[in-house]
Amino acid sequence: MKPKKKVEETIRDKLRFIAGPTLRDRLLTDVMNAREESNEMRPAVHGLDVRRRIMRNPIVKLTSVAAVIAVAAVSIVFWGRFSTPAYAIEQTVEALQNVRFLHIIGRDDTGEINDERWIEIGEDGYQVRYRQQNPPSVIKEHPDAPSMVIEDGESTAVYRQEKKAVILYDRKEMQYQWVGQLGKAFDNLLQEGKILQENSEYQGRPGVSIANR
Amino acid sequence: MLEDRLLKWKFRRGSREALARIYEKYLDSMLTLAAGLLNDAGQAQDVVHDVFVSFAKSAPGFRLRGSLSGYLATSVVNRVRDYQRRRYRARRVGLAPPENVTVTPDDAVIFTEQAGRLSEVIAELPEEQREVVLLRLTADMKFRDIAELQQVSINTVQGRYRYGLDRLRSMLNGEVDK
Repeated sequence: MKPKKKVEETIRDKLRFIAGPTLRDRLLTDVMNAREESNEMRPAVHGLDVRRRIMRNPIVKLTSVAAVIAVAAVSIVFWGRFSTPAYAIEQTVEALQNVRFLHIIGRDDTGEINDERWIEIGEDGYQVRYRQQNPPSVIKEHPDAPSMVIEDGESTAVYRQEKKAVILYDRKEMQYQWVGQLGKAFDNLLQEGKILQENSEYQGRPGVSIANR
Repeated sequence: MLEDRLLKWKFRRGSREALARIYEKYLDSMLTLAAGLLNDAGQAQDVVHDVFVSFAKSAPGFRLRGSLSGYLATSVVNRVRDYQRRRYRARRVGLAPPENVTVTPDDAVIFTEQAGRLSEVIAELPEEQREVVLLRLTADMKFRDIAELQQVSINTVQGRYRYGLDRLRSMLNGEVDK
């Protein structure tokens, strides 16, 4: 074996410092106490302004005239620029605080889809997974825009139709993210939204069993 | 790796069990890293304590894309750097802490004579080389991540690693073959 390999092996195998049982327990107690204190002092989740979704990509600038929002138990369609007051949205806002799945569709004035996103929200109100699909009309207008983006929390897959390629980015380099409270988002839609349909059948995407991977 | 992803997910959601598992899984490797960097098991214990306490407090807003091991190792390195700066200042004004503190065996950091010897030899390396060698070999960090931590190019990090191993080999002078 080469001398350098031997040095590497020696450090990996022999350089080992282990906490004694009492020290281990004492440190664990401190760590758990710190966790409890932190939970007691946990601040409220920041609010979300639907117009200011935090996305580090030019696509964020695409404006949606209307949005379709499908959720785990209820599906609601908001149609922009309607002057009639929103039906039952006030009552829905509170109920939607626990929403886990969102399907958002943006339409232009003609009703054509110009922006479509699927977002899975974790129990803490933050995004877990994200998918965005841009129709050909958007790509024509914004040549830099990808045809599809899928983010799984670790990496971001960007589909470039013109290159017939999928580019994988570390999330540090490319992020598509929706953060904040959904209730606040619906609150913001209150002024221009209207329920067009409900879908109590929609159950979201089935969970993936880690054990079967 | 899959377990770590699950642990991160659970930890972010406030799972007490996930925090305990992360602690149990990485305590000794972080202790080894800190002890190697400081060449002092007692101070390493303080550093690791601070790292895990701070980690536990970070749960509510915790968002991590990289590896848990890399995250904790980076925290250890940063704490060690702070510790060394404080210690240097304390020495200058004559406020160094007492060297000998009595502890029971169970309440101590346990290591073999060979580990102690290795730690002494590693302490002879320049700080940058010491960090690279230990992060690579005790925390399994990628050169790319170490480069980010040290804010240098990946080639510089690989060079430091090579030089570090060369120096260790000559300082150990055949001891590795025993």
